[in-house]
Amino acid sequence: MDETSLRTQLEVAVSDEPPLGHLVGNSVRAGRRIRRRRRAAGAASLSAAAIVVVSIVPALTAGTGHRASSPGPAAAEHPTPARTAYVYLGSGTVVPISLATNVAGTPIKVPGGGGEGGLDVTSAAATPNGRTIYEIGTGRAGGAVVTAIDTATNTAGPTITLPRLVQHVAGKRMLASAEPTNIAVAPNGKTAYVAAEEDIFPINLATNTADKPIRIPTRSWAMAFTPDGSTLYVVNPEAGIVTPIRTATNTALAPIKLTVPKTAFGYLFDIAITPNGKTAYVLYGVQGGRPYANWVIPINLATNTALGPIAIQTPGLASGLVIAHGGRTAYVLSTRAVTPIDTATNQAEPAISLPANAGNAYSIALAPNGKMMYALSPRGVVPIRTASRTALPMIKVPQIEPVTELAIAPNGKTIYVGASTRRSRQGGLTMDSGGGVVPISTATNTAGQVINLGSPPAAVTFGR
Amino acid sequence: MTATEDEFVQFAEAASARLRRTAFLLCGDWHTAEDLTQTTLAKVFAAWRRISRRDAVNAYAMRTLMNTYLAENRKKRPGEVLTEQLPELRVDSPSPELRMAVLEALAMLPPKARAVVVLRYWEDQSVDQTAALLGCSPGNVKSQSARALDKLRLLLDDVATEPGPGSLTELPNRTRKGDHGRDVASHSA
Repeated sequence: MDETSLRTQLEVAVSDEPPLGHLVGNSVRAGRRIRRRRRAAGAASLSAAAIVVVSIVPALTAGTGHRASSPGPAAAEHPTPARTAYVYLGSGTVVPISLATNVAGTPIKVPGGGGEGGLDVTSAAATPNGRTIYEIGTGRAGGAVVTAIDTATNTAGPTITLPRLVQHVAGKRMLASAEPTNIAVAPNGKTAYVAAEEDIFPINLATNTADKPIRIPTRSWAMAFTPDGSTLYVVNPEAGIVTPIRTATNTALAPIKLTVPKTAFGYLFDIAITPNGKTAYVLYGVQGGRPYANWVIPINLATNTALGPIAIQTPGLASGLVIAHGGRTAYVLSTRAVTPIDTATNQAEPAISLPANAGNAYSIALAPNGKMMYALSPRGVVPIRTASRTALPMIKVPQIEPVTELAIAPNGKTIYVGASTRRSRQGGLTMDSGGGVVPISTATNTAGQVINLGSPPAAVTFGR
Repeated sequence: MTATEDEFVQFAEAASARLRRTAFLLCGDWHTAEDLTQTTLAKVFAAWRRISRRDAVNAYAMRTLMNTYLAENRKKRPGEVLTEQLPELRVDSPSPELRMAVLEALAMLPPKARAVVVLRYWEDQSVDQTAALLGCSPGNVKSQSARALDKLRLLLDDVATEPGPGSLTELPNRTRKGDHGRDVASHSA
């Protein structure tokens, strides 16, 4: 089912629209009541005061940067060669695919997954040695679940159920299920951190148990480790802050308030840390799509302070950030262009335009050798040379499913993107069913045949 | 009425029809849609002076609508009761069977998945914009979207293959539910 066909069906659904009532006048009256209530509540709360404790993060040593802001691990997390791509289907099934042959193996059933209400996988990450993969999702019973997959035997288990959270709704204490949004495995492979609502759950990978959650100010998803793994930086998109977590003690340090430009509707999308561990870059995208509408905010990690925002002068919503050239350049994807930022001067440089036929790109990833970047759009994949800053012609992928990201194999030879198959037209409507992944050879920049798995993937990661 | 309120009224008059249509796709009932829209506009009115960028007010209103809809569902789930027939089906409505099928299929989705579908495919928002509007991760939007589309395919497929009056009988037979699963061997691009 493509966008056009579904849009047509939704138009039919709203076709019996009745005339509008006195919506606007009633809204103004109701809005005035809300203002009055807020003023009354504000006066009552002025007596309360908050105490903020400021801590200092120790200086960081050089090494390799890690980021975990998107499904799938960074290539640098694999000192041992990965041999298999693990494709997570929404049905709670994982299919191993050989990187050498692109042949799908026997599907692995995930406990608590499959069928209606099964495991809804949102992200997955591998341990540095590639021997275990952890996926997160919402289980059949509604709770947040972390499931391990042994890549030596391709079997699932054990399953770790995260504790339910205490929330206060309308003054009442309730137990609620945490919705897991992201997982990052520490560089030493001993602990995984799962972001779920307003908590970060450390998972002890030796015992496969969840430790006491670390409470953070608001919900989060993008996370990045410092190269030495001593600190995990967690982005809290709604609050405009980044929370450092000291991994030795699993404690949250004082949140870093970003100097974000005042807008009605901005959002922190992504974070990446330079390989020398000195600076983090946080991507701040703003709805509206006008020029100058996106910013990148650097954070000095020695002092945990935000520096002045860098304007990204291209139209379209910024949605991806990578750091290349040994940390000398950060690249920001904003729909139809990629803007380099010199990390020595924190100045934006002339943008690299993507080919016109690519449409609106929404995801970007760096090849393991750092020589190429790849931008994903609903029409295909655009290779970009990092040294010469030139975009090559788009690799067209006609079956692309515009809800999945691209995953680059750690050997750098193949890119996998999600695909829909079995497209058919019925009564003027285009319908899709089934899907899988399309392998793209980086040697020839050509897309191969769809590896059909029954449905498009929720996430792709790599293991031994 | 102050100048600021005049400005809000202008915005609300321009935006209310669109907001109500989106709200209708979220809840499946025009009366509830009107309530959702009114609550949304009241919240936008209350925040009007704090919205410094007028070009972003539509996004602000859409996010408020989504928050209001999801909060309502949390308070009184299930928000909808599935019935054999939808009320108030106008005879002059185009493709009434398809309309009913689409509304019933949407009603089968969990509230957040339904919001994802409406934002992605009715409001034409990107994955990242949808994530921003719902306050969740793009990965979550992707997985919700993929599963919701799968479910919609199956539900609309059933209707499409049932014999009956109306435009849907003109659709050719499609793959049935049982054929929808994994099919590694029979690859067809």
